[in-house]
Amino acid sequence: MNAVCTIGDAMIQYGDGTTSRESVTTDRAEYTVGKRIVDALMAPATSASLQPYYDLPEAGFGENVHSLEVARIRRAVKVRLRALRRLPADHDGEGAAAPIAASVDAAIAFVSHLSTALRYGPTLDDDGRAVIEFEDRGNGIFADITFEADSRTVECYLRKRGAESELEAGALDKAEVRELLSRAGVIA
Amino acid sequence: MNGELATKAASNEASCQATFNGREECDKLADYIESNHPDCACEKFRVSPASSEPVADIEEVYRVAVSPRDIDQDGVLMVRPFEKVAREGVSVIRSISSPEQFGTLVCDGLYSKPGDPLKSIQKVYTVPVGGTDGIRAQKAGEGARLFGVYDQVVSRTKKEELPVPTHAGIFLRLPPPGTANRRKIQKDYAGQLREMFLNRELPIDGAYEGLLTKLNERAAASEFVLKAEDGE
Repeated sequence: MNAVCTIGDAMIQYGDGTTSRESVTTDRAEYTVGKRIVDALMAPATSASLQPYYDLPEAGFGENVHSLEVARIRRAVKVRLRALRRLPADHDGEGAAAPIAASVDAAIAFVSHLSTALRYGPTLDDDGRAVIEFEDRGNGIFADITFEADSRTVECYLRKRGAESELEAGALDKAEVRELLSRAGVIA
Repeated sequence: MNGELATKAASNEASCQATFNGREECDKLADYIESNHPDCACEKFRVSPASSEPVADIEEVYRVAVSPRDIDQDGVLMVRPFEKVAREGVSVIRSISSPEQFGTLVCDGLYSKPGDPLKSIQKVYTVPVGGTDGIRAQKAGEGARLFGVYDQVVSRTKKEELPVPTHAGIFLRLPPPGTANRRKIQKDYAGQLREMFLNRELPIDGAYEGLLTKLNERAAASEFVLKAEDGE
């Protein structure tokens, strides 16, 4: 059972320049996994170019995404991921495995720091792993990230109109994984 | 490429049924079908004894999204569930279904166990099987067909009940095992199949004269919660 805990207050900066202090809570597993993921993504950091929108030490990454809308989307996706995490085995009536909690927690943590112009939504694969799908139909871009049960590694896929698709797997701080996510527009 | 496969016995109704029988949840069924009956050879035969006839080109198939994972928070159809096409197949309902058969198959997807979240019909899509924009017309770069559509009848949620003869399965046949970047290519084709369905969404009350709306009302009233005696 994950204990719910308060991380602290966070200053959120909205698109119109106003700010609001909000209490940030999460469950302990999500927080632990989240810190690890952010550490991985920030590792060889180009942090000078990253604009944190939470004034927490493990603040977000990305650019130009300081809006209430971004926060709303993140919240909606995390709510949905938490709902998916509670599904039983065979939730699809076609034999899908029960969700893997560590995988879903990793996805929630990732979303907590996600800044992208791509539309995105979460789902589960047949083996219970969390997946986030990104899509820009107008520009023919589709990408997904599958979070492995170890909560450290991912599989990333990118398909762009007119180009050969790409698939990479490994830790989130692996250069090839980061580069693919960057080419997709998932991270800066 | 198919030299080894060419040595397989000729496909016929019995051999096709032997391939499908008891493997509806086998995650290697797509490969198994192609290795035993290349080039969608079983499309010409009934692959399930309970089926009335093979799936014809003039038919359409419905995909009814009932699992919470099928549709995201914005109502968008997710791609990942379509990756089943390379494993145990994508489950669809044939347009030759009577309203009763269609309703029964949808109800089977709506059942949940006591205490589990209730399900509902979120979206419904329909795609032609044959024709220039049909599933069977989808080709790989070299011109080989991508998908087979079979009259695969599946067991019911309540196992003791008679199967419905108008279920079908869609299976990916390419690329063969051992192909470089196979998983990536399978994901490409699964995305292509999803795109076909995405472009053919029906209003919930547009299929079978509002039947799905009525089923959603029954689902919301917990009519599809299994009882202890409905054990699998």
